[in-house]
Amino acid sequence: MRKADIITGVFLMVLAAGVMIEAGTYAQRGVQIEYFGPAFFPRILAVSLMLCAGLLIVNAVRRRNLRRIEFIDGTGFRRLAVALVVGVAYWATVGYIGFLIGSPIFVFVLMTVLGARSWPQRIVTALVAPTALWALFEYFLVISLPESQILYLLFGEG
Amino acid sequence: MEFDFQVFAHAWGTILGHPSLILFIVVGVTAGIMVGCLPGLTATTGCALLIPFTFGRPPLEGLLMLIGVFVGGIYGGSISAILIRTPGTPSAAATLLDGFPLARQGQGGRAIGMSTVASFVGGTIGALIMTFASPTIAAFGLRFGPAEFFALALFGLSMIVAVSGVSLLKGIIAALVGLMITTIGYDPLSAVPRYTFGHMQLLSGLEFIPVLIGLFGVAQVFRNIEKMGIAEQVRTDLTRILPRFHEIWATKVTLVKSALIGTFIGSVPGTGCDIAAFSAYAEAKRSSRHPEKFGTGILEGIAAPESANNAAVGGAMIPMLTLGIPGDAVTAVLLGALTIHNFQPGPIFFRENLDIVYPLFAGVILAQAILLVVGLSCARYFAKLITLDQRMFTAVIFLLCVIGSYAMRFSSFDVFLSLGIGLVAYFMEYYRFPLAPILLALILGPLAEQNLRRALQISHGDPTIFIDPVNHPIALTFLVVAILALVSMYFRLRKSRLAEMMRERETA
Repeated sequence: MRKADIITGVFLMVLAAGVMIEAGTYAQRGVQIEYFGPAFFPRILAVSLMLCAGLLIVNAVRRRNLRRIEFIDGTGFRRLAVALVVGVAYWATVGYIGFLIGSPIFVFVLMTVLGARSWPQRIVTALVAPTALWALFEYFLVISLPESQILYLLFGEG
Repeated sequence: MEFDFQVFAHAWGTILGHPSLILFIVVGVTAGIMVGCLPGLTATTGCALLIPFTFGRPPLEGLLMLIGVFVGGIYGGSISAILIRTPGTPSAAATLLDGFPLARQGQGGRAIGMSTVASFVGGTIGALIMTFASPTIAAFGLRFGPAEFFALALFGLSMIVAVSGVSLLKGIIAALVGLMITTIGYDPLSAVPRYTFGHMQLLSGLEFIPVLIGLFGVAQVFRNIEKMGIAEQVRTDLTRILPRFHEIWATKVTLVKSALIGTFIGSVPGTGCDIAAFSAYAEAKRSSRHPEKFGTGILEGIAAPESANNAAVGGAMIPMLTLGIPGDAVTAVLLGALTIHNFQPGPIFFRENLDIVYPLFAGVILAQAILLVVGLSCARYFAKLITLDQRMFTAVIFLLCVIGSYAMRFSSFDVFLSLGIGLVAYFMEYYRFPLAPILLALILGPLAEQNLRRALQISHGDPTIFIDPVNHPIALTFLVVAILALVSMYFRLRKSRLAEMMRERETA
């Protein structure tokens, strides 16, 4: 974890520097005393983070960092990456195809990615879970979930 | 501000006179037990996922449901701890020490029954202490000014940093990152937009719910996906759930003592139900006439941690309701839920919202009774949940995370934010950065910043306002305790790290 801690430390130092620089542009705005204005708290945080990040790097260089006790499984991580892509694709398209169409497809595909092979299990879960959630949100909580723009264009309202 | 028996009686009338309120508690407790007994989901995750279900309902219904989830979730973790040696929630880790050995002896039903009764007893004692102590503590909180609130926020953050992980430095870094997130959006005192970079969606800052779901829901889903597998289950007898009366009576002293330990530990901001459980277990073992029997499968070894962790629920709600400081991660979520419904927990909450406060007290007490009934009658069915296909479950939870993030503002930005934060949190856990400090920083950050700046403006820039023993002794006390907690944890962690390095050298 030594390399990871060094990389993380460098990233955090860059982040803190960015926060500090951006905070400098706020110091001129606001109506309060400049010292306790909008830049005050971010500057304190940036300095503190820079110090902590520096200490993290120093500890790693001196090999006083923590050991990793868990390791990411390669096959599992690839499965996760695919699942994440499926999730992003789902939500990027749900505005066009609608929740009631997109969500069963998403659940079915995701279960397949996760290794489920039983067709009845996948189909039943893909149909029942999203429909039940949609009904709960739509009728009980009165919260509308995305509707299909394509179906609306094709068939209009009602 | 004394406890008002008349208002309390009226609150009971409100709850018992509205079956919908009781129904929401039942739904919450049942959902909480289901979430709690599944390894991979915690009470925090359950509350986070169910917050969106409170949006369209009257505040009291939603809040009582979330309290039910909290109560049920803490208990539910014991079912998987006993049956498959995998605690469903961190607070059940101590329960498996005697619960699993008892299940292996074919007495899993007895173990779960004892866990249920102990959770009821401990939870009720914790809820009663919370009910009668809170008004007095809230009155004390009325004496707080900006300096005191800033010191209190720092105290809460330092406590969670001190206990949340194996590295103090990484805990502090996590807290700082969380505080930085809270500076995004309009500055609360001058209305200057900060770190928005021209994006409209960032003007009001990062929404709490998507960040919360990302940290605890999505990150956990990602871990489950990576480690996909079905847990082994021990074959055990679940036909007799209720232990015999004399077995329960024999543990009465342990039950009450553990409840008091749990309530006290839970009321300290930053500590939680898991620390309460282990502390009570250790004390029960220390004071037992037969300490050597602990770990072999004795009912006392289940009674102590379960009584304590459910008592800690009431304890953790004390600082959350009275001072606006969460006792642990779950109460941080509850505080977020209260804020979403336009309530600001703290001393003013007790003065202006008695119609919510006292029904919440009554709801926590009633939830314990519902837990006892649901737990004893349905434990064998909850046990079957553990054998459900994780692939199906994980897919549905992923969907729930997405909907939950969307439902707050009907914003796709929030969904992608939640997924992104979930990915970061997933890696953070592997590199041993704790997540709880980020959550508390999100809650306490605005409180800390506003009161820090106000205090310094009042004192004309003089920082000694925070350590003034004459005018601000409360602030000084909080800061001293915070520093002592961090220093003491630093030396404890350093000692255990040195011991670990010695062991590595010996085995190398």
